[in-house]
Amino acid sequence: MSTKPKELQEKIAALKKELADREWASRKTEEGIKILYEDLEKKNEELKELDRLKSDFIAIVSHELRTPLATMKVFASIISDEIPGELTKDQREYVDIIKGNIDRLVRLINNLLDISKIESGKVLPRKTLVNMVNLANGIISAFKPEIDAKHIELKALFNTPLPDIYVDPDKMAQVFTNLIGNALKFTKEYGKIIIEIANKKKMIECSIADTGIGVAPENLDKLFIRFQQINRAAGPGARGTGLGLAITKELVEMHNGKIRVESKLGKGSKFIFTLPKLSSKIVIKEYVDNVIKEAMGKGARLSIIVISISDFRRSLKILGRKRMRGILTDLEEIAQKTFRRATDTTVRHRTEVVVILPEAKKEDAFAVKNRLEEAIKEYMEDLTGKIRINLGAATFPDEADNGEVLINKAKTQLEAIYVGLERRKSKTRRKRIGIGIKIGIPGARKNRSSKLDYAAIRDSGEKGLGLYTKDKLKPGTKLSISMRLPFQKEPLKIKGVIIWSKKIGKNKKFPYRTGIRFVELSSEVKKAIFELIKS
Amino acid sequence: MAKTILIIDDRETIRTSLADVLAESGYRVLEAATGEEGLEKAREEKPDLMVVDTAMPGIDGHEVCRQIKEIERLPIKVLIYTGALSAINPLKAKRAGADDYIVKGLSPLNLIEAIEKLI
Repeated sequence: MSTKPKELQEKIAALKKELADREWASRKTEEGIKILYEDLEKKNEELKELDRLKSDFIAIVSHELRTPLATMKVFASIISDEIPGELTKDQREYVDIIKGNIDRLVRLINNLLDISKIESGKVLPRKTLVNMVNLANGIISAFKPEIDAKHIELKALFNTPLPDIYVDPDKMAQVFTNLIGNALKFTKEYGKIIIEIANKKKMIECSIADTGIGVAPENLDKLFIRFQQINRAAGPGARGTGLGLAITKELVEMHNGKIRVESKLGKGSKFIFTLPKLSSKIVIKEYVDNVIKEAMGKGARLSIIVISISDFRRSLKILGRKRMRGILTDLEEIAQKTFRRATDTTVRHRTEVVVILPEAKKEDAFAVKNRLEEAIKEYMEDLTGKIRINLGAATFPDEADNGEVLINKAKTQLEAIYVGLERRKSKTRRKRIGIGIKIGIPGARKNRSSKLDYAAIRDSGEKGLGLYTKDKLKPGTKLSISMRLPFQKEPLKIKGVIIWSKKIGKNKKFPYRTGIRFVELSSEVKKAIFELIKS
Repeated sequence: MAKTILIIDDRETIRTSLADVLAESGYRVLEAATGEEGLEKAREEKPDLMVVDTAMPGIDGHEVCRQIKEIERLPIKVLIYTGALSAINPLKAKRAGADDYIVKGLSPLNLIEAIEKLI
């Protein structure tokens, strides 16, 4: 009996030792991993530093190389232009070789500078909304002479309408130029180049296919690596630098895009790159944040104005999807017409147009907003009753310290644009109502309105009156109107405020039209006037 | 009298750099490039401490340790070390009878610290 507890105790002791050993082992493992991890981090830092030094070195050296090259190019051109004296056939040939190689060296250095800048993270895309079809067409037309000279058949298969995407237009132009340039270089006369732009669910896919020399499968991976020129027998055209595709890849990836190649040796190649379609909400946020980031450094400002359509669904029902889309496009166009600066821009987001005004102070934004309001009023004449448009503005850093807050702030300050009924182009209510009307303007030197024929009613609604007047009246002026309506003995007293006054038409008696909004008027009276005049 | 340390590692660069650091710290340092050579020197020189790499061709570090501790029962402290993430196995070293186990990084500091704790 007494041996059993002893056995147990031994077992327990053994287990305790085992446990201690294992605890010790796991502690040792942890320590070891920490040491190795720290080593890795240190090495990584060293590598980054080396990479940075390399990029700096390339940037500096390339820059220094450019200066003497520029001089060489100038003098080679002087010789080639025969300014120092006429050239023999041989001399001309040699000078042309020199010039060609200077050009090539310049290209190489520029590419090196490009790639070193991209790699050092100094090149940030200046994104804006871009229509890739328009962009591609621009590049294609620049290549037209070369394409025609080689009798190449160029097919552009564009999936339109294509939504705008948020990219750097210059960088994208460079991508297209590089890829189309390559296709052209490696395609023989009477070959074919097909450029496609397709609208995929989450991205835009662009491809450039040629019937050129193609690439062997084992070389496909090397294509995008620097200085890898495969099968470069001295062909026609300019010799490359071996950096074009590497730069192209960097540019695409800078936009969170992807690039790949499909090719058959001797048959041709197809380069495909995709760019993500960001939701307009993200675009606006990113855009505003970007501008703010830029503005931060310079201590500058940024204002935004949100143009939104209230009760979009109702308007959609009345006007239809197509019309509503048209209205949004129109609003965007109107906004763009009110711009005074090249950096001002608009971004559309579902039922809203966001106007972005970099460097605009609060007062500037207010001025733009007023101009915008006037322009939209004019536009809305046709649409009164069918649509209501709101405007709201906010300024960074006065009212918000980041993009999201700024947008929200603008949205909380939305105000409906009031379009007086009088400004409608309504045809049915255009009849002039020949009744007496008296206008009393407080503070006016003489009461011009004493004469009955100073003004006439053009039309009226629940919110205001449209008048024909003899003079241009100052907006904002308060006035009282005494109006005698047919079959009524007592004149109706109305208080109102002048909203606008403008010379329209060729009416000699009443050359001006003036819009008045009712103030302090019960809704019953408003309705009564409206009904009366309508009848 | 200066304590004697025997280093067993098949990689010469690591062996010599470690030997240099330990010699500078005032130890008498012996080197061996294989497990067999290490065992031989251990028997002859009776060092105070052996610093042994785990992964070696022929007799590996664990086996050297077992030989010293379990079979020959020599009064020598054994410190086993490794440099590779995939080779970390302190329990195996413990089972072989090692007095301590260390993962060696770029810096030899932690190894020297462990040595000083043992002797």
